[in-house]
Amino acid sequence: MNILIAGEGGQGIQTIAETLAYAAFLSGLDSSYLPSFGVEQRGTPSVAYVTISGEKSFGYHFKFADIAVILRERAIPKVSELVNPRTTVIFDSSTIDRSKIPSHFKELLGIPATRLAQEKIQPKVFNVVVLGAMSKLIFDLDKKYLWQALEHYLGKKFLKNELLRDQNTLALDLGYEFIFERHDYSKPIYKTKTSKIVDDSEGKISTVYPTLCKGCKICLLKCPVKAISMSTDIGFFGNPVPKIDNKKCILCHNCSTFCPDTAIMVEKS
Amino acid sequence: MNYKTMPKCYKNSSKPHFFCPGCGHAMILKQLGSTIDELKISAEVVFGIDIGCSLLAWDFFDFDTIQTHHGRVIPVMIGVKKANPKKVAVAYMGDGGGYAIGLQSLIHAAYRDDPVVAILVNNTNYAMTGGQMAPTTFPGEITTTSSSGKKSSGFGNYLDGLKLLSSVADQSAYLERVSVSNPRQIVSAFKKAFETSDKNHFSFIEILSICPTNWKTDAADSFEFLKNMEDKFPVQKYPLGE
Repeated sequence: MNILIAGEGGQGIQTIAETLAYAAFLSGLDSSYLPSFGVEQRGTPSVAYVTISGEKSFGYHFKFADIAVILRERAIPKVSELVNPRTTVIFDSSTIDRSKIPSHFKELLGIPATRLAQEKIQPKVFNVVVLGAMSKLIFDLDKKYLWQALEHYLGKKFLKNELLRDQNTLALDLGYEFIFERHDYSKPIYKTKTSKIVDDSEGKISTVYPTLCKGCKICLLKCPVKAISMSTDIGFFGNPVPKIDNKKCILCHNCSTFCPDTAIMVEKS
Repeated sequence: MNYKTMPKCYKNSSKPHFFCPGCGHAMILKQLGSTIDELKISAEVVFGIDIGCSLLAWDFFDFDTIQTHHGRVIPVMIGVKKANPKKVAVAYMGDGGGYAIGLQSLIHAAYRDDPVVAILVNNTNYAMTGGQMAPTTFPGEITTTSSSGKKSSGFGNYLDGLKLLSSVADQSAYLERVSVSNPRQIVSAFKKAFETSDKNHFSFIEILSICPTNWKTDAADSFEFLKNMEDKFPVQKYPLGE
């Protein structure tokens, strides 16, 4: 079985692909994993090729995927070459519009992973939610192996922060229990913004440029009055962009001084 | 698109830039841009960049930029200054280019008191190639090539380049170390450096920077790490007590 996972650097695509291949290996199947990405940077396309089979298999780039997982709209062009009428396509229905998906597929399954992760746990574990859902669908894999593989790759991080272990357990369970949307897909609530976001209220004008923001969250850290939070608007790099609460803002200009991407500023109106 | 958040000497068409999210380089270049704007010297500046993450500053500003060989940015900028003394030569490098492969160029420029503004960004690793161990890496710090922490025996302690330069630099040279945790201090250091360059003396600014991608830290942890760096590399001016 050929599985293709496509998204963007920084989403954790390679982590879940590696975990999936290792979990399949632990359960006695033969598996291979091949990463493919450009510059090691967040915001660039990242694709992983996983082959799982009962017989001996060798790692190679396959021509057609049996399962294609699309986690970011910008990865679609890269995926569509490998999708054929026998492919099951899984997509993140909370960020990708259904109409953007290539039309030649066997079955289209939606999972609003970004929304589920953000609402129930924390945004970063969204890849583990996908991993859980995917492995249930693919080979009804025992969760034991999956967890063992996840522990193998993320164990060091868990040791550093115990909270992460609980969050990942929750995320895996959440994905594992999730029933895929087959017809009524969720609305893509996380919208990609291309124009600047301006808020003129309380005597202050706050401006955020989603085309520049890379989501480093330094502004959140440096704001002395905690007036900045992450919004549901998605920037050019596929990350949520900050939102300024003008009421709380004291015009200290810390955000615009520290921002490496010159993406944020507040001024007097 | 016109961005009012950017310094005027930024090249708008090449933005968003190539640096990683939360990169210290981009913060420093922004302060450099606003300093150049404030001093109104963008027509005079020639900007030289080294190999390493610093080369991503290629096409970053709207003034002349030269990309040099690894560690050779200071000699090239000295050449530019010698050929055209009216220009302000800015040499921008990382700790790999300045403290490892290009250390002899840096030492000799400081010793000869060449009129170059040398800016060195220190993030304790070779970031562009994936975070390998550098001379500035602390003992115990985990990098790709020191997976159980750097060992002092065999790999040495950490290199304090500013201390080294201060013992060989000319009396009239200006040496300072600042940190990205205080952007306003960076601006004042840049101003002082340009002033020194006007008087035809060498100026060197080391900036302690953050590298969230290779340190594998988030925003809060990066600045925590930076605080740790500031303990080991004290933020100070040379000669001391000035």
